[in-house]
Amino acid sequence: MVGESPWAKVGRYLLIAIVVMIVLLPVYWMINMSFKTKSEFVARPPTIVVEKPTTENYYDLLVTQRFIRFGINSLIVALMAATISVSVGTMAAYALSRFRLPKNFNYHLLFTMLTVRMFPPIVTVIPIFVIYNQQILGFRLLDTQIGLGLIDAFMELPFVIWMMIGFFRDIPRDMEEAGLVDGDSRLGVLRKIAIPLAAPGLAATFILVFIASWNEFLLALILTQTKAQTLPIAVAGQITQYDIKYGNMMAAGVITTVPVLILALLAQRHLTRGLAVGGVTG
Amino acid sequence: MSSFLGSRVEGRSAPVSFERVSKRFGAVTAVHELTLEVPDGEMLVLLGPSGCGKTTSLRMLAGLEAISDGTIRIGDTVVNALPPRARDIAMVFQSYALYSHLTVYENLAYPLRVRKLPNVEIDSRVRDVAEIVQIGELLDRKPRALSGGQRQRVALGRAIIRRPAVFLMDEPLSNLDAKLRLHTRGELKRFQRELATTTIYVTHDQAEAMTLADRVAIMDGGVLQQIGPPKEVYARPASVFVAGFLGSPPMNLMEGRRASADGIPAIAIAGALIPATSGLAARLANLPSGSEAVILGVRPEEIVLLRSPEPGSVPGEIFVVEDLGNERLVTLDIGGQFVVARTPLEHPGEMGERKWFGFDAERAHLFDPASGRRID
Repeated sequence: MVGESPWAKVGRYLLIAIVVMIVLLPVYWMINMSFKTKSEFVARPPTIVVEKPTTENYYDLLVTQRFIRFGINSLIVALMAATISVSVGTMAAYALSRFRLPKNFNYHLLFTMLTVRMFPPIVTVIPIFVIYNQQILGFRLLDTQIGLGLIDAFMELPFVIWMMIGFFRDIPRDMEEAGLVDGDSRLGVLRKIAIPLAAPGLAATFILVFIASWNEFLLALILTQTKAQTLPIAVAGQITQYDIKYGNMMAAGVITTVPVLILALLAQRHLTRGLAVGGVTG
Repeated sequence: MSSFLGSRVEGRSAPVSFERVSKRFGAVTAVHELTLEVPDGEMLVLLGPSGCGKTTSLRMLAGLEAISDGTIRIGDTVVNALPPRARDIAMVFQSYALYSHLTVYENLAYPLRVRKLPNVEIDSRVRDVAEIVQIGELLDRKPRALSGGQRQRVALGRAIIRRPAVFLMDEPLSNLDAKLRLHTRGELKRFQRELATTTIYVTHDQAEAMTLADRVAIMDGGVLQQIGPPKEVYARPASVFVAGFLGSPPMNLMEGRRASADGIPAIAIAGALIPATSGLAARLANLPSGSEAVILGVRPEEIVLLRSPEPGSVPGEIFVVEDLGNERLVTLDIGGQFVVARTPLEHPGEMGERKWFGFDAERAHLFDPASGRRID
């Protein structure tokens, strides 16, 4: 900044450092604790940096409990939720951003969709459980990856539509009209012009839905039992009838976080471009 | 595709007709009963101020806007309900509307790819067109790496690559700087003549309209005011609106009344009496009976400034003097109305100075203030 005194600069960086520390402290603590033995865990005062690091927590999770199967469940569910909600939501958002329905119906539709997110999920989870527990066409959705993926996709659909509408509105209308005049159909224009231009937004939305589904707890808790259990439920599962395995929980937390972190880092460029408004024109 | 187009052969220009075409947006009428015939190969310019309905008319022809009433034909085909892709048109947008995520090459190829032409043909046609619009060395660039003039060429190239039945151009030059605009204007005219394809060109710039058009159609308030060759529209404006819109500076329009001077018909303006000679008198007689008011139109170049009163001259005071480098515009205040005279640069004049001006009343234009129409 022009005319800033050195002290103001120091103050600014100090403030940033404090905020970053507050945000990252729990993450650090989780990693720190995940390498502690049971005895070091209960030491008072707690060790700020682990003194005798151990991998026994990770061993117990990955080898004894075969934690990877929960990871696979989570991956399948989250991929399904993101793929379904983004593909369906993108088309809905495109239609709502390009076609004007009579009597302000666009707005009413968008608002109605938001109500899905206004219910606390606990309200809907019981009826969903009852429905999922039925045999439908010889198939029961309870405790299946498909069942959980579908319901996550449904829950995230309004979010996707609202996000994508913003990105589509940023695309100059002229460009699509040029496509139509050049001989393309609406669908062709959507596929060849609108979607490529909204790609950063699409990627950002996909990742956000993926993360939301990956971390989703309540629905997964009620709608899965053994086969389709996801990571957050498995983390909570470290609290047993007789014992709370803190070390395991911390290690499980790390295991759950890492894949999302890697995904976010890989897609960082898209994420920032997608979440910054107006990245489309130019 | 060809089934949509009836008997029309692809790659050949076609005439366009609007028959009582209207467009309403809710309670607002954007275009009112537009009737227009554009013969095959003509360049028609739709001219008017912003909001006059010219762009809406073009968009209805393109199929980007639905028609409220009337019939639009391209060739023999009624296109009212046809989607844009079935109309065999190409359009240059004001913003150029280049596909910003595609290279220049792919921008040019888009209309051909949509039609599933073989790659070999696409490649040869893209290179041909790139040559014509002189962007051969830019094919690998993205639009954002191009200058305004280059983008304009790409947009033009994308339009001509397909040899459509009709070209539509929506203010294609308005985003260029003044010098480039003049240059491109000339090129555009050459292209159009060489391709001999029906072209409908929308602009609010009268210089573009005058230089480019075979015929110019002037619109105002959603209504077609006049259509004709540029010279004719300039020489015989059909309404007060057209008279005041064309020319730079536009025609002087003076409010006067029908009067008589010593028994012969005359026009009274700002306290002066202008005796009407035979031709003007005959036209004055054609004013609707009962109305005394008349609007007298005189082009600035036909106004002669005088140092002293002469018979039939009108007194005024110099309001402002503007030098344009090669000529001088003198604005006179005549009792609250302003009259602009185009004079040689060396013509003397000071602000506030009292002057008289005269003109050949026989060549003046007469309009009926009530209807705004020309009186002949």
